[in-house]
Amino acid sequence: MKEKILLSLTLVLYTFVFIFPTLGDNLELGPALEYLKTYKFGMERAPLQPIIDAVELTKNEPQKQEKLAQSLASILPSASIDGKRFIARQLAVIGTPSIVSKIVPLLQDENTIDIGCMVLEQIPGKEATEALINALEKLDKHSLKIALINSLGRRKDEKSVDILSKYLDSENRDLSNSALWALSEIPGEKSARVLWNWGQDKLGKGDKAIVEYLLRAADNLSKIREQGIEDLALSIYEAVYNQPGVASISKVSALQGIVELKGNESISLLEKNIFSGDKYLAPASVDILKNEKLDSEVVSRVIVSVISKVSASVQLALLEVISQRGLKSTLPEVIKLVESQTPEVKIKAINTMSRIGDVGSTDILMNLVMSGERDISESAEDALIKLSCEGMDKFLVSKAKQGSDEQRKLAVRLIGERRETKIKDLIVNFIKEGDAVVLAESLDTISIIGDEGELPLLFSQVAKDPAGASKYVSAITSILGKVEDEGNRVKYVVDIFNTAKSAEEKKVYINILGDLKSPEGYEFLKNLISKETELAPIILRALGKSEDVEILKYILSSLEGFKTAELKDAGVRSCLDILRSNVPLTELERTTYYIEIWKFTNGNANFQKNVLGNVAKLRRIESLDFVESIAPNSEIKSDWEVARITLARNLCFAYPERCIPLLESGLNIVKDKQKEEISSLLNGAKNRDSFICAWSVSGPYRLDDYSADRLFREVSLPPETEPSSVKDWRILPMKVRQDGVIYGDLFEQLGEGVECVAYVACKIKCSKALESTLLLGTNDGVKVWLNGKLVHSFPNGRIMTPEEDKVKLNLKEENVLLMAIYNQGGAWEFTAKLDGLDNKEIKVEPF
Amino acid sequence: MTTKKQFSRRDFLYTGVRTLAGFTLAPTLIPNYVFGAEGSVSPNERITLACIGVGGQGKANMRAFLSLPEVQVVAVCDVDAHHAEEAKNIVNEFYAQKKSIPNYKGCGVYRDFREVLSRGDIDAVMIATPDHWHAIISIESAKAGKDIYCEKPLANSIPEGKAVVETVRKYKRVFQTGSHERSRDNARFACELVRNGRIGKLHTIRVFMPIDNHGPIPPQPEMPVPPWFDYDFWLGPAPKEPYTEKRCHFWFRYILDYSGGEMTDRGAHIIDLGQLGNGTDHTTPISVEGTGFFPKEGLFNTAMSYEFRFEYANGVELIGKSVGPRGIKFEGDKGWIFIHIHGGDLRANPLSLLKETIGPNEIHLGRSKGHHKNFIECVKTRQDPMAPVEVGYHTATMCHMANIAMRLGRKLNWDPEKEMFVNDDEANRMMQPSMRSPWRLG
Repeated sequence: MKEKILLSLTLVLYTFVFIFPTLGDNLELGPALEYLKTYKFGMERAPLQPIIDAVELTKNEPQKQEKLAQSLASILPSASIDGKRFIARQLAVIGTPSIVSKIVPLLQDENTIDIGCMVLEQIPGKEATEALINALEKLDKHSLKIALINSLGRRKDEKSVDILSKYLDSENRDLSNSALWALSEIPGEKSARVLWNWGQDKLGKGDKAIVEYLLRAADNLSKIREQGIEDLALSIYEAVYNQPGVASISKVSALQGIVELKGNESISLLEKNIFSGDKYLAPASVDILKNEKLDSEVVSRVIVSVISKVSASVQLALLEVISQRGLKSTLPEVIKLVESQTPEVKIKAINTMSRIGDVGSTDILMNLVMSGERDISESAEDALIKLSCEGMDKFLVSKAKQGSDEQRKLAVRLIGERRETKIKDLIVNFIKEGDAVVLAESLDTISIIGDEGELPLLFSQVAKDPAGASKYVSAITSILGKVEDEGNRVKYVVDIFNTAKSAEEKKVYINILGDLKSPEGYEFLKNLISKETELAPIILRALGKSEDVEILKYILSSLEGFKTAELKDAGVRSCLDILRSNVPLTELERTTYYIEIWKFTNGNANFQKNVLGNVAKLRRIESLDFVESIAPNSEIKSDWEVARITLARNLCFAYPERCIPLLESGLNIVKDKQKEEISSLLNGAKNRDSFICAWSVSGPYRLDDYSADRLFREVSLPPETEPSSVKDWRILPMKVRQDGVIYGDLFEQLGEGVECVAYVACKIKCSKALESTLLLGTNDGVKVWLNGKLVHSFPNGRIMTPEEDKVKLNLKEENVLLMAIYNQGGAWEFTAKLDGLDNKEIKVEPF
Repeated sequence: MTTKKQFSRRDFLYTGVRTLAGFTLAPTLIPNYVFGAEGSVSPNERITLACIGVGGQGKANMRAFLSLPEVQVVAVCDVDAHHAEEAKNIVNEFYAQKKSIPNYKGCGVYRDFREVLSRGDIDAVMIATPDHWHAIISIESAKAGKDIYCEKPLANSIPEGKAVVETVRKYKRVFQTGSHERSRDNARFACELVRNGRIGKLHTIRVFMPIDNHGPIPPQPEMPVPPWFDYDFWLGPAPKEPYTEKRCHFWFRYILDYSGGEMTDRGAHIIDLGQLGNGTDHTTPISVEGTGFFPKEGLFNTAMSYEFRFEYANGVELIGKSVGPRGIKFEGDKGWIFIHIHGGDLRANPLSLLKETIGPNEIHLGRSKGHHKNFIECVKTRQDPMAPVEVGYHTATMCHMANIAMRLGRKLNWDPEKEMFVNDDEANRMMQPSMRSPWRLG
């Protein structure tokens, strides 16, 4: 505490003694300025902080800032190179004309000229320009002259035009090109005229630099927007464009300039280029048609005249122009392209119709939908969905009523996709009338644009047509999904169920209640089983749609009491459905439920195959125990074998004694690729060396708005606070790298984990208390606990490097080793070894 | 190792002009892609690509392009001969296998990007150099008529970015900024939800940008330059400094002469999505303020932790911090949506947002078949790709604005039209790049 107070006082004193007086009399930046004499980039920068602070503190006090600049400039001669550069960075920001003379010496040395230029480029006023010009006149070395010319270019000061123009004819190409560039950087008529007068006769030489910088000068001029100046810009653009030997990529730039200045008058150039086949000019000319300087009418005319005569690639680009500009008058040409033999053009033309089409286009698009070609059909339907034009609703009504069967279906579908709620009544009528042709489409459409108001109609249709009632389920469920209150949804269905007269009708509502996934709905169904015995199998299947462990328990407990095979089968099927869902159960719990269900499968091979297939995915030794306890008949033998090998493969590092023989025997029945994989696992499992391989895993754990870093620093999750209470521990299958390293791939096992953590744990049993070293590599951070005590942590992102961390462990006879592996994103893996132990002394088991 | 002639930097202007001039006068080499009249090569033909900068990210990009059947990688270029050689071997081995030509040697290897650009048979370039080279190489590529895939950030300063935009448009080149998060379906869907008002009126965008474990490092010793590494060329327009290993390659991003730290690195991904979701791809905010911790010693001098805040003309605020799960959260008055960066998974409140569909008459942001594939498709169709040059420029501009505000430690007002700080000469002067001669923009 004393030290902290002392440090604070020192800082305050330092601030008053060094910083504030410095700003007052400009003499006392002492230590910082002194430090600059030996400063080298990468050294401690804290001693320089007073200078940075002073720059900030003097922001609104020009006089003080100027004094500061003077002080800094004065130290330049004695400062180290990096010190000079540090000063230059400050002076580039606060430097004023008064310090220019102190910068000039830097210009004379090849090692410091870029430092001097950095400052002078930024200082306002004529002094800096003059300093650069003077230096340019005095210095002989070309490299120094080029640096100065580049700086003059960056200053963009018209005062340097005269001196720069002298270098245009330099015999040294670097120098003359620098001058060319610098002049092109200076905006205004003077520099442009100098360049033009000098360069116009040289355009034919094919010198790309001359062309480039003349064009830039023209670009600068065209921004000025004055008649005489624009004329000069246009002269340059046209000269470049018309000059034989100039590269066509350069002409692209000239052409854009011409269009900017001449607008519609330039359209013939574009038209000509579109036909030229030139790699650069042809596509550029098409693209330039998007320029608003060109009237839409003029552009449309050109497009209409060329589009049927150019290549498919140009047609594609022209269609893009039409689409972007919405050139409706080109519609007939676009319609013609729908017949193109090139699929890309055909599809693009269809897409373009959605942008510019009128109601007259709809028939064409409808026919294309029915063309039978998938891509074309989908594009045309998409175009009809997007097409925005007057009269579309009337068109759809007319087609839905009077079109061919296929047209009627499409029209009804489009009413839904286009959300044409204004003509919803038409669809309602189709449903009311039970219009057989469009009923299915009408129900789909009403599920999109309908609301609660349509439910009575749908319910009444179910009552009218109980045998065909199942077709209404989807529409009713969709609309019920829009009812905000969950209780109301169930109430709607229960109420209507209670008025239902036929079994078929009731089945529909039972299915809907199953789909609604509401506890109230399931409760109603449970109570219904005893009342509607004939419907009980259907009710059980509906309950199977729940993802609720209580429903699972309920059905399982009822299975014994079910008297018919049909009921039992329905119950088993429902249990299997629930277990396959996201019902929140641990792998051990799932295993236990599958074992329980097996008793009721009653020799049904399909059920048994289902159980075997799902149990094989559970990484518990209990699952393997269960599978091995089964004596398979011939019908399920191969599924049983696959389940056994799958489990053995996943568990082989945790329970090698049990699994290695199973895998070895399994080698005979698997195919080549699997054989290779199993051989590799066997090899790893037999040569585990000192790798810890028997891990249980729990996770991944994420918390909203918590990064992996924050999880590491701030959060203790149940696996580390109460590991025994965590239910989802399961075996982590390990992998073997080509170099023999055995590791856990959490990314593969737990899914792509971003900003999360997973825990791995094992039990280590020793013959006596032992000392060992844990050799660890993780991607990313890690925490390690031995018997509940944190023994190691590494917080940051890294790649997994085996044996990177070395942690001393004092092992007792019975130990729990727990690790949290954090992941910021990407690869997520770990590898661990226990060093210095004889394998006979210890036994490692999953937690 | 390349046996090409070794160019000194001093050779640049003379040699550069000579080669470029040579390009225009030499017999025309017909590239594989020809956008021409009826009967010429179809637009579905191969695009020939050169990869400039083939370190970590460059190689990743190169592999992505190799996987596209319509692309042929014909050249690799790097000032680190080891990188170049390794990349060349990857390319040659790939085509040897694909074309069943055991000794395929079709990939050229270069140290000097100007030599690559002078090849008339190359349609497009991929640029994945350190940031301080992005603008120069992009501009020279556009002038040479190449289409460009350039890594983010678009440029190492605001004026450099502006020059890239002007040149790319002047020569009508296709330009894709490497902000590949834009090509993720989930990110685009999330932005569509925001743009179509599903979270109500957007008021705040929160950016979470934690920094990986690359904190300050101690002073580094001067080291001999490895013989395979052209260090002077690597420095290029940056100040001349003695060589030390951690100045170059991956580490350059933490040194202000070459990059802008995490702000311009991952910021160019995350802030970029903020622009997309806010519908401000065409512009930049009107103010910025921020604080950052800049190391007081050692080689690295970019901000190692930070907080920043932008204000847009539409009233939306974009607030960023160097903590949290890496990603971006759009907050509206009816809900929020969060996009995880580099994973793309979404979270939302209410959760039902994620089941929404976007209607036919709403704003659709399109979908990409992958950032690299999207670029190649656009090379063929001449349309703008997912992250065109202006998009990359505006995002990079925001990153640079934040860095300048943090260095100055005060709120800065910004004029998005003039692209200058308002009434703050210091900030405007700080924005200007300085280039070591003879390098310059253009």
